[in-house]
Amino acid sequence: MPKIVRLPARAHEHHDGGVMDDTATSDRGTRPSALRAHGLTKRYRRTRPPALDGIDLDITTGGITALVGPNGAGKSTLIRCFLGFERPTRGFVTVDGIDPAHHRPKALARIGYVGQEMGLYRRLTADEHFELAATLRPHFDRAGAGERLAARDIPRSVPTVELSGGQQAQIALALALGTRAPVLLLDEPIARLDPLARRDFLTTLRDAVSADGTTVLLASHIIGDLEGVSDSLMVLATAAVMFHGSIEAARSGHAVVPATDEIAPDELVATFTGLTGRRMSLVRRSGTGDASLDDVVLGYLAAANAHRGVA
Amino acid sequence: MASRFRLAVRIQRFEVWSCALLVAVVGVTALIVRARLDGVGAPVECLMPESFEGVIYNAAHCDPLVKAFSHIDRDEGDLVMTAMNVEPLLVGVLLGAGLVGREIESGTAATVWALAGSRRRWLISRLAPMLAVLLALLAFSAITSDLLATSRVPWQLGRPAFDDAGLHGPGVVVRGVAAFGIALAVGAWSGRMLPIILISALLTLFVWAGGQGFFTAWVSAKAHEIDVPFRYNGSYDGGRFIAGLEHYRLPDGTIAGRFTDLRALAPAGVDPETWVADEVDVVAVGVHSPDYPGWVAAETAAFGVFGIAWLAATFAIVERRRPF
Repeated sequence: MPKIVRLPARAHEHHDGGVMDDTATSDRGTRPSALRAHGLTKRYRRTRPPALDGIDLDITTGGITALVGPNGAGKSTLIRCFLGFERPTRGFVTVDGIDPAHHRPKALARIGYVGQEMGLYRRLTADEHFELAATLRPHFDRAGAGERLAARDIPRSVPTVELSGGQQAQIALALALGTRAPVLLLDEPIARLDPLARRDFLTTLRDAVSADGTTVLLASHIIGDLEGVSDSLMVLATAAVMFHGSIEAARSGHAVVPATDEIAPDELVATFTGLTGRRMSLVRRSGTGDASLDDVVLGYLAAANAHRGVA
Repeated sequence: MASRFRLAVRIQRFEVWSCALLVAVVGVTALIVRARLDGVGAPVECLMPESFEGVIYNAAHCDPLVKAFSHIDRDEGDLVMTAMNVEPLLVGVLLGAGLVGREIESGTAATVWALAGSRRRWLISRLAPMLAVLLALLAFSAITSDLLATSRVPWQLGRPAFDDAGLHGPGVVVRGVAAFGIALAVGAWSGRMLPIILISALLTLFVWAGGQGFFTAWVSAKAHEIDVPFRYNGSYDGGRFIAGLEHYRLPDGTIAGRFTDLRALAPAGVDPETWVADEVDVVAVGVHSPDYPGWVAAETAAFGVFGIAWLAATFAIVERRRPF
């Protein structure tokens, strides 16, 4: 029976719904937390299973965390909780120590956001979007946003409806980066882009955030694209975090073996059908593994399905 | 500030230009009809109702002028005033529906709400320019329709009259603002354009009907006996608006509105027919044109409070709802 792996639950802390301690640090290091969730449960309807079920997570400052999971895993819900767009049913989240459910404007002042739909005005140009952003967000970096587009030869005086999906994504990203927010939340912005546009988007993102210590939570289905740009991986499935660790730890900490091999129960993550159609098992190996990121994600998704009772 | 205004108009430019075109067409038509009415050159003496004291109607001189005036007044003036039943409501709904509703439907709400942080500040930044556009358009409408309304009752000599009440002057502005508030709040609640348009249209229909009902109720409440001959009851008379077709003063001074009720009011032992014929006076009841500012203040207050309530509801909805 595959074993479900969850992050260790944090000790329950007093939470009064106010501004949290900004100096709070991660379990996994000494860097302060940029994004935290504690006992986070979000249920849209009482009669339906929760979208998020008692999640604890801690994302430290700096770096890109890839948030992967199947449709309905709760990726968007998690991001929306950080944005204050959804109120947790139970538990809480913080952004730079601020609870967006109670201090939404303060939390949002620390966030740059790109959604699945890009959220651009069809008839406005890129420059007009930046002008609008400057009226809404103090200190919005119009010049920097414009330069980012100019570097990729993206027209700034053409209505966005006349631009390609990739160019629109670059404008949306420039808007988010122009806020100079310490946290970027990107909710599957590359899902509808072609491979070249995805590469351009991720390259821009990596170049922009590598220098200034921005924390990025990037939700996506496309695991292959994330491997080169992400620092850590979070697998979300069936409303729970199945894995959260560095990309290196994900690869070297796991191996894939034929399902027929004898495996110690505490090593087995899950048995799944690989891309070649062969039955394989994802197992934990402390630093000696060589699993691909695809295998790690497939293994943990299989573990989630097994836990849920899906064959 | 100029930047916000320009961008807000750019974002809703289809609605803004559509409304501006509608208001311009109706407003310019109103001015043309007014010019045509004034151009007939019919003296006030020809157009005054006969009930005015001392009016001597010179048929040979007046008939062709009155005919020309009435033709324009009835065919074109009525058309403009009919349009004024709809125009402010349509402008209010068109400008209000998309302001929040389409932002939610198209997914831009998530972007701008995340950028702005404070949704209240965002809503104010979008609302203020659009309210300015709305008020400018409605003010133009109010003024042009008021000018036409004044030309349609020249015997009022430029004083406001109860004719076409609510379809000209401040009533136009407050009705439009009420419709705007409704569409704005429904848009914020629904976030889908088709339901917004349908529900807002239905609710503004109630505003229109409510306006008519409120006017009738206000006039009934303010109506008092007016000393004019019965034959002019139900028409204009000396600048007065008569509130009912016929009213009756009983011996004790009270006013009864229905002839059919009179017999039942006859004292016991008296023949009702005789009592009505001998004791009951036919009187006219209504409000004088000097009461008109009172009506304007009442309708402005009523529709103003109504519109503000919907605007306040919008703030509450936007603060709480999801941006998708």
